[in-house]
Amino acid sequence: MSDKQPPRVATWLAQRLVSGPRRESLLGDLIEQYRLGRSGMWYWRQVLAAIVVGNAHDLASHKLLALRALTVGWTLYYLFAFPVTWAGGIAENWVSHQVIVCEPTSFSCQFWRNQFSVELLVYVAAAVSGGIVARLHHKHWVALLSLYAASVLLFECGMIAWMMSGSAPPETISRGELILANLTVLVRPLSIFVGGMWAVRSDFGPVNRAVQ
Amino acid sequence: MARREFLGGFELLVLFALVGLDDEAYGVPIAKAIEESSGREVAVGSVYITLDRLEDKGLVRSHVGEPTAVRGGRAKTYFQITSQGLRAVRHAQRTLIKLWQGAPQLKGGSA
Repeated sequence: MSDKQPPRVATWLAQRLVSGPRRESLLGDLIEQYRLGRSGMWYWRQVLAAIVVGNAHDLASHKLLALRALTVGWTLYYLFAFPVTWAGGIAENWVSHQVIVCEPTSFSCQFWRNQFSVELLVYVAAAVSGGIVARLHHKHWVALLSLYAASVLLFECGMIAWMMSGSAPPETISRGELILANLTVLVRPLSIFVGGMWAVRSDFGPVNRAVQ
Repeated sequence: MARREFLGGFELLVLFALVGLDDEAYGVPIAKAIEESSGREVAVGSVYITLDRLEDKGLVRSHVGEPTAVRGGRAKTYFQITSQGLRAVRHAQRTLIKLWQGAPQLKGGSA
């Protein structure tokens, strides 16, 4: 048997995202098999399957908790909207005058000013809401936070589709800029997830001996 | 009459594997035994979830072994079928045989 190291990123993900009390035994099994000659592809497949299957099982067996996580998450998301809108206006004014000085009619100028003021605060608020949801449901945080983040993603995609159906984009926006603007829709759910992961980082177990 | 829950297809495969493996049953050998008989790759994560469910039903019991360096310092969790689990397997076997015998399309020859 060799002592080759299994894919580090896969092990890192498994350590954090596989749910349930058997995580350490499961990871031990995968490492043992990898050292017995299974491929890196096999290891990745097993880790991803364990994450998906385990969290789907968590969601299916804790429907009331899922409902609670969605309610808490969306309530926080909307409660944070008020201070974020207020502080975002002040931040955008400051960024426009002190940080990003550019032609205000161009799309990229408006876009980056918005990203580094209002949107930045929205991302922080999303991360905080994710952190609170994760702390309140720390036993099943991956499944419940994924559900909350997915619902935010769905909502944001719906909003974009609705806005785009109403009016054609201005001609001054290039296709690349439009794609970039739409891609930012992914940042809010990602912020929720990162905030949640940060909030429960002490629950990850013996991360330092991920592979010995 | 006591209510008896039906076993799912994968639950039955895991229990059959446990019967064959005796005391050496942990995630990987169980997954391998199922792979060898079904010819399909099995996610070890699915095996653990099924084992957890079977343990909740009282059909399986588990204990944690010693951590080993080869497993990155992680312990194995060993599983054993309980007497209730054995009864459930026998009952499923009898049910399947009865259903099999009642299906003329499945008698003699391949599908």
